[in-house]
Amino acid sequence: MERVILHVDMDAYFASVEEKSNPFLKDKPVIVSGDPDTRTTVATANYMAREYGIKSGMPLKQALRLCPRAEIVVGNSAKYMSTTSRLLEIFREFTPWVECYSIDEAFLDITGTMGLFGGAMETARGIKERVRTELGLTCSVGVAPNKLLAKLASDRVKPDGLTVIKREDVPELLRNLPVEKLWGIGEKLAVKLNSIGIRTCRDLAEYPEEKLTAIFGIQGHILHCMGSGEYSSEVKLFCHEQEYKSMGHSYTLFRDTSDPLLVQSTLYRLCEQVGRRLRRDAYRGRTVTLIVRFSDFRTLVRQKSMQSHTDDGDTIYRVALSIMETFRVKKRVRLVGVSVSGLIRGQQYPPMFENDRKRKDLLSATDRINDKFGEFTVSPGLVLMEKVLARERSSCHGFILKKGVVK
Amino acid sequence: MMEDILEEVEVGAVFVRDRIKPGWFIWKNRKYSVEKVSYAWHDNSGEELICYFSVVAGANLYELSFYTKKLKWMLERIYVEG
Repeated sequence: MERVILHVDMDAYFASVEEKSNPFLKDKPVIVSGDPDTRTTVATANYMAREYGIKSGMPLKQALRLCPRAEIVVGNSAKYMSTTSRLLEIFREFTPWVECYSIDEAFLDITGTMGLFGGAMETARGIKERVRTELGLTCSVGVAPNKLLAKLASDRVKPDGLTVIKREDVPELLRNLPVEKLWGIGEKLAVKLNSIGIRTCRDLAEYPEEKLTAIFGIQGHILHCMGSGEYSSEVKLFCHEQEYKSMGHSYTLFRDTSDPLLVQSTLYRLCEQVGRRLRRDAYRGRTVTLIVRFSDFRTLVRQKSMQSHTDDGDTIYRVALSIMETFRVKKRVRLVGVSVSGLIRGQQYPPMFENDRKRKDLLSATDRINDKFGEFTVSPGLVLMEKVLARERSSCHGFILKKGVVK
Repeated sequence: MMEDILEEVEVGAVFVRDRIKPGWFIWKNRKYSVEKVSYAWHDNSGEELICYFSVVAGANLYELSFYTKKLKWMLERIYVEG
C-alpha cells in the first residue's frame, strides 16, 4: 500500500500568532523580530508586510526603510513553542505518526488512519479546520506519497493552501522544476549541480547515478532518487531519541566590541549553556570548537581536543579561551560561538580526586537549583558580567539568586 | 508596541474544565473587565508553570500571567498603539 504523507506548514507562523494575540494588529503590516533597540533581523513578517519586500533574515533597519509604518513585535519563543505543543496535540488526534520537523512544520503519516476520517483530503481538511477553530491560525498542507513531495506540495499554494501530488503527476510536475525547489537542495548545492549541467529535476534524474555518487558520495544516490521524486525517509516519531554528534551555541553580540571582558563573559555563558545541555542529556565531549566572527564578517573557526571527555562548562571555557589566545584579534568581535563534539554518552566513573568530586557535586547542586527555579538562577560571576557590560535590557541575574543582587 | 509593566494585580478568574479564563483585574485601584481573551499560552520557569493571557479590556490589550505555584497574578505588559 502506498504511503500517504502530509506536510503541514504554518503560514507566517510567528506573525500570525502575534496577530491572533493582539487584535489591534489586524490589517497592519507586522514584523516579528528581536529587540528593535539592538542589532536584529526579521524573524517573520505577515503577508501584508511581505508585499513591501520584507523577508525573513533581513536586518530590521532595512525592513523599516521598506515599510516605515510596520508594527514591530518582539518575538516570544515561549508563546510559539506553547502553540506548537497544541498543534502537535491536534495532529496526534489524526495519527500517532507525527514528526515535528521544526517549530512551524510537521510531517504526518496518515496511511493507516486516514480511513477513520474519510480519506486523505478529508483528514487534511479536518486538520486545517481544527487548527483554525482552536488556535485561529491557518496552515498550508501538502498531501503526497512521500515527505519530499509533500513538502513540495505544501509550498505550492500559500497561505491556507491544500495541494495534492499524486504519483502519476510526478513526472510532469518535476520535468521543468528547478532543482533548488526540492527540499534539501540549497543554494550551494544547486550551484554545484548547475555547474555539471543539472538545472531541472529531470536533468537530475537522467544524470548517471555513478557519476553523481563519484562527485557527491552517498548523497549522490539520494540526489538521483530525488530527481524522480523518490524519497525513502520515513516520518520520524517525536519520541525517537536523537543521537547528537555535537552541541553548541553562538551569539551575535549586542554591539561589535574590542572589549576582551565582554567577549570572554559572553563565551563563558555560552560554555555554561553547552555544559548544561551535555549534562542534561548525559553526554560528555572531547573536542571544543571556537567560532569568532569579526566586524568585517571574517570568521575564524578553530578546534582543540582534550585528553578526556567533559560536561563542565568551565572546562570547555578554559579550552575555548586557550584557542582564542592564539588569535591575533585586531578587528572588533561581532559573534562568538562554541561547540563540543566527539561526544560519548552514559555513566561516568566517579572522579578520583577530591577537588574533582567537589566540582561534580557543585555542578549537580547548581543544576538541581536551576532545574527547580529556572536557568541561571545560580550562575558564575562571569556570566553576570556579560549582562552588566552589554547593558542588555533583559533581566539581570545575580551571583547567588535571580532577584535583588545587581540591577 | 508592548510596554513592560510587571506589577502584581488582583484578578477574578473562572476555571472551566482545564482552562482558566480571567474575567476582570484590578490595576492601580481601577477595575478592568476582560471583554475577550485573545490568546493563551504557557511557559515554565524551573518547575513553576506560568500561564499567560492576552486580554482585551476597553480599548487596550493587556498581558496577564498566572504563577501556578505562587498563586500570583501579574500584569506583564500593555499594548500602546504607535
